Amino acid sequence: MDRLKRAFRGGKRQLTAAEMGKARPVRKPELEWATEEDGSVRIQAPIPGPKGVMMRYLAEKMKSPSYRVVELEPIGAMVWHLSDGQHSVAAIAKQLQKQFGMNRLESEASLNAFLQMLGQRGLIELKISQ
Amino acid sequence: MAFAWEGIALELSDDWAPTAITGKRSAGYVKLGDGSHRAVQIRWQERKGSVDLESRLRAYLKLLDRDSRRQKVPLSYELEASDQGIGYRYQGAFSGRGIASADIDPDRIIFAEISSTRSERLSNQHRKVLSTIRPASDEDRERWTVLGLDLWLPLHSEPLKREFVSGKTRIVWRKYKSMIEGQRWGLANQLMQRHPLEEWAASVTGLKVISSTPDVVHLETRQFLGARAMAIVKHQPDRNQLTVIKVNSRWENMRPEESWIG
Repeated sequence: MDRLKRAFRGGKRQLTAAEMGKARPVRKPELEWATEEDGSVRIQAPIPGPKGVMMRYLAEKMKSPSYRVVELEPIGAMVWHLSDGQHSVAAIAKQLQKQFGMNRLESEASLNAFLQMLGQRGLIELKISQ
Repeated sequence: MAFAWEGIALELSDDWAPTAITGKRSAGYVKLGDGSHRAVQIRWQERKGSVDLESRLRAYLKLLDRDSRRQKVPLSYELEASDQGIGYRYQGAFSGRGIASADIDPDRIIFAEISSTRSERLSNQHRKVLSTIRPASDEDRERWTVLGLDLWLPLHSEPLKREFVSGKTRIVWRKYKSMIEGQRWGLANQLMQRHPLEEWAASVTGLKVISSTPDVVHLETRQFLGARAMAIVKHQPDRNQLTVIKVNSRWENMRPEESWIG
């Protein structure tokens, strides 16, 4: 599982299409997020603190933010809501096809790219059942 | 979902999408996949003189047998008479059912088959998919349908370029000295919430709007030495997509019409 997670977050091994379809994305529990009136989602993602005493001192002096805000437009927000560890990537792709009239390739490609982006920013993890 | 390419059309469920397209009208190959192990493959070749369909089919099955033996599984097959030609089924490293026909298109021999893993029974899929194969043209137009782009273009339009990316399908054809470009954009309803159709159409085509209705925009710009660039952009909210047809031509009979959009 760790190996697969590594692959998802930019490691050497790529997930196969079948593995990706069965994986279930799950939001990081420590994140704070809210749904806006227009359906978009604002996520506050903590920024890891700088390493080293000097860097920490400078960061404190310069009042560098401790979190960043990621905003997802309504389609991304829908994927975010479905990333609850219960829905598989394939099920979310089906939902996109149904709701937005996308074809299978379109929904799978967009969703995989989107989940990869969320994974690289440390906002979600993939649960992979063996 | 319909799929139509080089004059051959078939109906498939929404899960199917092309994974390989090669060749041209005289000889070519298309493979479609449904995301599992199943594949539909269509091969076509122009017929010249009389055709011995059975010997061609046996030659094809011999090739499959060679490939199957490489995986240490000998191929067994059966041929059967069919309404449209010769039906066949095989089982080796993979299983498949298909039809070899010289009747679907009078000018070409067509081999169409559905294949999957060795253990899968294909009789239902075979009936559902292969029975829908038919010519994709009428008297003066031919249907081209791929990944949501659905156009009826003048006969003998020859595809030159294609681009299938997520959210956008784009194909360029040549008909004699005219160029036809077709585009299909997904998530149109979301796009139209941000940009008015006229503005979007002018931006995508690079042409001037000459008339518009809530869902259709006609555009045109005269070019050097009487050539014209003409376009139609249609918003299809029921399919959540935008279809663009752009033609560069000197001839008035190549003016794109709304009826070109399927």
